Amino acid sequence: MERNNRVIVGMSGGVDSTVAAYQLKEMGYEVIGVNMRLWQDDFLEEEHFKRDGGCCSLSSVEDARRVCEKIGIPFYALDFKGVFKEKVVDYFIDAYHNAETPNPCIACNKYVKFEALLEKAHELGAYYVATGHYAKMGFDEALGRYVIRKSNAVKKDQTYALYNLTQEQIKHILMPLGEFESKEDVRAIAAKLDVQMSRKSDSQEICFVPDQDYVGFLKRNSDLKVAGGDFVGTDGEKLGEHQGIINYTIGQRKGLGVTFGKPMYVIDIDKATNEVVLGNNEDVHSETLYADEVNFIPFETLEGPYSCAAKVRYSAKEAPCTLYPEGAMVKVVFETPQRAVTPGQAVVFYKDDLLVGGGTIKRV
Amino acid sequence: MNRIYMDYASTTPVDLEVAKVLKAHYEAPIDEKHEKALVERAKRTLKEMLNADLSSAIYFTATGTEANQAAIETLLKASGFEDPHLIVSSIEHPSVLRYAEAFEKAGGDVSYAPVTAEGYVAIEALKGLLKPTTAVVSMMLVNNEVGTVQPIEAVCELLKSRGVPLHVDAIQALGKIPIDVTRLDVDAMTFSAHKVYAPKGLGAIYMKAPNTYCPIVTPYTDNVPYIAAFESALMRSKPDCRAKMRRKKKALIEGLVNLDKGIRPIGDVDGDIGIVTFYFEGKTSDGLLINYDWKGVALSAGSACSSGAISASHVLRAMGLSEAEAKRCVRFSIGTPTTDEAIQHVVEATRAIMKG
Repeated sequence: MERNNRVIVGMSGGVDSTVAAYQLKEMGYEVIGVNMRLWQDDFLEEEHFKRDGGCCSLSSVEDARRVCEKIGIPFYALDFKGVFKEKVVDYFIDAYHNAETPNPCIACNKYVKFEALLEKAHELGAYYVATGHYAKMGFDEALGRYVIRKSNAVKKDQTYALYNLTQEQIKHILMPLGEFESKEDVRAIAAKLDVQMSRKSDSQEICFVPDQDYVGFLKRNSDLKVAGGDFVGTDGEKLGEHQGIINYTIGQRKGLGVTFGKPMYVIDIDKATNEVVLGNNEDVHSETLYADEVNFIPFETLEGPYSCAAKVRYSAKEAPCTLYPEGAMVKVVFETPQRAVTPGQAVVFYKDDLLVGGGTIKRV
Repeated sequence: MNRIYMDYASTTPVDLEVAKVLKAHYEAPIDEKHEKALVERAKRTLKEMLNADLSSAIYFTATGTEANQAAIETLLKASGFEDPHLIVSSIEHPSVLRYAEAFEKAGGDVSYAPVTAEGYVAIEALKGLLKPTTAVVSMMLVNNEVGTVQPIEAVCELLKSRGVPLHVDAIQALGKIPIDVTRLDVDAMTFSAHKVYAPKGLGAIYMKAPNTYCPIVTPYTDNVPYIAAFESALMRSKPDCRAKMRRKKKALIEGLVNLDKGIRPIGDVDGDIGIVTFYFEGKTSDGLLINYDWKGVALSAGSACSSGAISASHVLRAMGLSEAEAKRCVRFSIGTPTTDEAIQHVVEATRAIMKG
């Protein structure tokens, strides 16, 4: 489609997306606010009611509508529940079926926030979509590619969940908050706008599991059987009994329900035997991992060894490593062993502030 | 640019003559005796319009939704069954479906009558759902999304032979087609003022048996100005408009279909109810609604959920469309004020939208 100035902004009614929409309007874009309806169930509504909203709640629609009125842009609520269920919730449930720990935000960004929303934007004659993410999008002349760089507000940086975006998607995405130095600067603009924000905390980890009890969610929304099994040591010796493998994640120490006289960590989950393998601190560290479904941004494919840094989960620290092509997979070798490398989670690669790409951790 | 309104099935503008009646009421001092007489007169006007026995009862409610729910509840209670069975069609208005779902959730016995691919209740299937404890069948006369006139006569015949009471939601039918409750022999019928060019905020229930206690609505203070406005609107409704409506509907359908862009009508295509849903190949309901909005055309796509986002229409799903197909559909509804020029404008807007 031909480039134009029209941009569809995903609005939650919160500070970030509000300021993003306002900034774009100030820059001269023709801004249209939309609220994406993603997931709705009675449990969620009740929890949100108790917890003063959240990005999936019905109240967020009204907040977004009010904010758009105030900024002076048109507003529409759009239904994305079908694609969200298929690509995010079903994937989330399937991952637990496969004894993996999923990252639904990454799936949501890939399939819903950008793929489905971009499709809708084009249907509405808009060249761009924008969100209130903290990341910088742009074209790099030297590389001849669209790239994503870390936000200037380092603490708020959200590039981890964006590694999956394609050249075609990045080309059509604007993230005006990437240039802000801090969340405080964003808040200052929001204050100037004089829009009443509800006392909303920053988006939770998993928006459709407001109480963070994902086991409860799985029980309500899937036929997943939660059968207890054995805790075993690295030598296969039985150490105790667990409550069902979906209750555990790699690296977990607390909440095992059994004491061992020394710190023990979950180091592996075996779906076939329904066993949770426990080990010591050393066992929970890995120097190497294999990732599949890999996407690179500054280049198309990995041709040979590539030195960079990587994060094995959203909250992990970046660590120096080398990437090696390994068929359709990528082998990641760290300089120092990394704690709790978890199948299903994303490993994301960086070179300084450049988001190089990432993939899904398959095995260690 | 003047905006073109094509969402008359959602709500109608108040007729200016009706607005005058309303204004006169607000300006006059309160005269309780006169008001009581006005309410009784309005009830009589409605009964006459329905060809109802004058011994029947009319109750006014705050909304059509309330009228539907109160009518069903009244008939359920009047049945005297310990565990009354409720049948609603699967294309009823959400006010009826939500009631049925809540009743079911509370342990009530509910069946949903299927419809044909054309959007008509399947009589044989309905027959199969009847139980000795069936206390009420609730069915609309005119569907609000696809404009089909339901085979109420055949339904009545079936139910009378079994002694099962019938509630007819006639909210979309009133003022559009003649209604004869005596010939049909229905037990309860419901209406809404804002679908007939009267203000929002008034519903009505016809009850054949005058002494049926209507638990929800009995204690109301009558909204006299709205009742008078409703009566005025009823008297102004012209059944002779049906030929005109048929012609306008035909013009809209032919205009869109002849664009040759994969647009096809769903439901009633050659009747005289100004409601028609179209399927748009390669488009989405919400994208279309926004694009029409930008072209100055106000429309509705199926039933907007409480958040204002468009879900796939339960009516279209019940008619056998897949979720994906239902999300490519938009409802158009025309009214008495709709002009030929407005229809042409919508056809041209559609041409532009389909071009990309």
